[in-house]
Amino acid sequence: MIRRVYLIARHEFVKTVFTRAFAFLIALPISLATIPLFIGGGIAGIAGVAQMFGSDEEEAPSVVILHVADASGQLDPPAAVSIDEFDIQIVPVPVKDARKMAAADDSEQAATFLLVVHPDAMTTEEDSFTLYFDQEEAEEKSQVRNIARDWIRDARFVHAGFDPQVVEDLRSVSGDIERLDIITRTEEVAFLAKKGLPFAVLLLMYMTATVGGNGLLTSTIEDRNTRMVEILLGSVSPQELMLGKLVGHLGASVMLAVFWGGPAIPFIIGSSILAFVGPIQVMYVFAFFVVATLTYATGMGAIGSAVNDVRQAQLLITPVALGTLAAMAPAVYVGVYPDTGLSVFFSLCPPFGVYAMAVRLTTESGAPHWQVWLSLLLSAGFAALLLAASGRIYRLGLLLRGSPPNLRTLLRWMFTP
Amino acid sequence: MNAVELRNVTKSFGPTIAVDGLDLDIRQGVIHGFLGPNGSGKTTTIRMILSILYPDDGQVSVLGKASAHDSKQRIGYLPEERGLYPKMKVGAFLSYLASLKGVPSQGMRDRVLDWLERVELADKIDTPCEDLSRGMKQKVQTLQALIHQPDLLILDEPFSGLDPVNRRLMADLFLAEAERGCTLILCTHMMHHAEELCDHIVMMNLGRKVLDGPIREVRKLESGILQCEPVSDHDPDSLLSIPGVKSVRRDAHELRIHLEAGVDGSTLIPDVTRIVPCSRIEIERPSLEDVFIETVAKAKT
Repeated sequence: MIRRVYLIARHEFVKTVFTRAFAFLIALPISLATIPLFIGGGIAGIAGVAQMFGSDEEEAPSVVILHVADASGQLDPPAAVSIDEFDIQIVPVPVKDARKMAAADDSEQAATFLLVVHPDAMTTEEDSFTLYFDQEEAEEKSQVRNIARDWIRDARFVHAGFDPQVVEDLRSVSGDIERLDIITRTEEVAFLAKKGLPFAVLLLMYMTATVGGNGLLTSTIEDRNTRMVEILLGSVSPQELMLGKLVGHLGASVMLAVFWGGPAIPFIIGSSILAFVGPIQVMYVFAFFVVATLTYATGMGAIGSAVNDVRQAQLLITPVALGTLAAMAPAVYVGVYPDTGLSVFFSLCPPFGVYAMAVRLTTESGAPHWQVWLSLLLSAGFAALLLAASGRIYRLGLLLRGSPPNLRTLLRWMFTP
Repeated sequence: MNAVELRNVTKSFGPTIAVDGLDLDIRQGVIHGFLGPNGSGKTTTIRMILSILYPDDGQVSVLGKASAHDSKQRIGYLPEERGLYPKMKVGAFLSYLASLKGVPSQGMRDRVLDWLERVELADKIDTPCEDLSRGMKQKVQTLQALIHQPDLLILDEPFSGLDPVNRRLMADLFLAEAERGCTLILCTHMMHHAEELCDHIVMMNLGRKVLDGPIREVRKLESGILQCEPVSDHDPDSLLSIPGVKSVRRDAHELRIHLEAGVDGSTLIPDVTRIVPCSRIEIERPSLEDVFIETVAKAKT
């Protein structure tokens, strides 16, 4: 019997694993991880291309010509000033002919400004200067005005007997602004890791169980549709066939789990943050993962045996999927409050225990070994009962032709010896 | 010694009784024809022999074991609804099913090749099953039942879909298996195949066995026919005065004289020719088809 189960399991495993769909599933996390890289790279690429094509205009800063007519006689402007995206060439002009000279120097390529500093600019509180510009759209107006203000302010300091640099230094008061962290960054990461791990385990269990169950469903439907089922039943018993298929698809699920979750295991075990998860906990979680996959796949196999195609299966899958989700739901509570009496109950009681205990094992609180073994025993017993009941559906459903049975009929088959 | 024994076996599906109190002995090394109209319970009986279905009542013994589960590796089965894994290569398909029947993996390819050569498909060993023609598929499906050289071979309509040449080829394979000592159960609607191959006939109708015996004995159960061509017009009813004549029917230029069961037609030829001078007279042996139709008709009435 063991040999026949092994042969069927090997056949199912090879048939499932060496397909494009399975390769896609294995590559899925890698693909998801590379999406941000692709997006980031894409943005960087677009920016690079934009920069490449837009470089001619942006690289050369625009030139501004600023004529300065200082009626106060106190200003000491430099010959040129560079600000961000443009250079200012400063041209001192006499006050008398300032407008005329500025107009004569007007250029279509460069914006031309005329700064007229009023005679009482060093003392008045009224207007100290007037700034003229020749192009309405000139973007440099505000920057040039600020420069004029700075010059007049410095000139006033000198006029009042102060060194502008000393004043600037005295005005400058620097200070750090830092976030007041009650939780340190390390503690924050540790908090997220501890809270996230149980839910990551739950998600992994659900995804791999689903893949295993759906694989068994489609494989059983395929055996019916290709008329292979009666040939197989001429060689092996329905129980051997179902068990072989279960083991084969369980193997595929394990392989998927190893590819999806395996790389994280050394980090989890080696991490000081998750020191409460060791090899023993990993082994326990693996055992619960196996039982969860078997439980789900058993139901799907039974459904597959009783329907002619996936469309017909949809009606019967819903109760099984909802039942599985209902069995998983308490595990979310257990992940948040692992120490409560209710959590202990859920982690022991089938069908919740298989998910709840796996989650509890990956919390900081953990679970005593006796509870883990009891939960495992009860969950395995529940899976065995389900397997026996599903086996009855499997045996009767496999050779059935015509309209598929409804849920009521399936339940009757389950409880009919 | 019997390869299969069924004792008072009954199987129902809801209100429908598929097999009703069936007693059956399949003798070892004999080719049995398992005949019956659609819905007569043949397939259900075969499935119970193979332990695919379990009887509601009665006992089944297969190859000396209480259940076929203990002897499945010694049984070859070709169901009426045949299957193949479309994507699998022919060699891999046959190897897989042979290994399920306990054939060791060592020397498997040679064994597969040998059987494929016997049905002239050796060059298809690495061809996916879906690329085979219908007849080729039929041969591969039949090989899966033979490849482990079983002690009991159950074939459900093994010749459907085969041309006459391949039908002969497969019939020779089955006869070779029988010569080796294998017990064959041949389910078919094609009576001439049963007549050609079988030593023993079991006929079922409405879940019950209605006929069971060696083919020569079965034929004797049905009345024979004398066919004669009269030289001149005669009243056919005048022949009814001959003891042993059941009925007379005119058929174009011939008279078909139906005899009572167990009557030897040759003994009546002098009486017939005395009353109706004939240019030709023949004894027509009853065919299995006649027996089949007659038996089913009797069961209906």
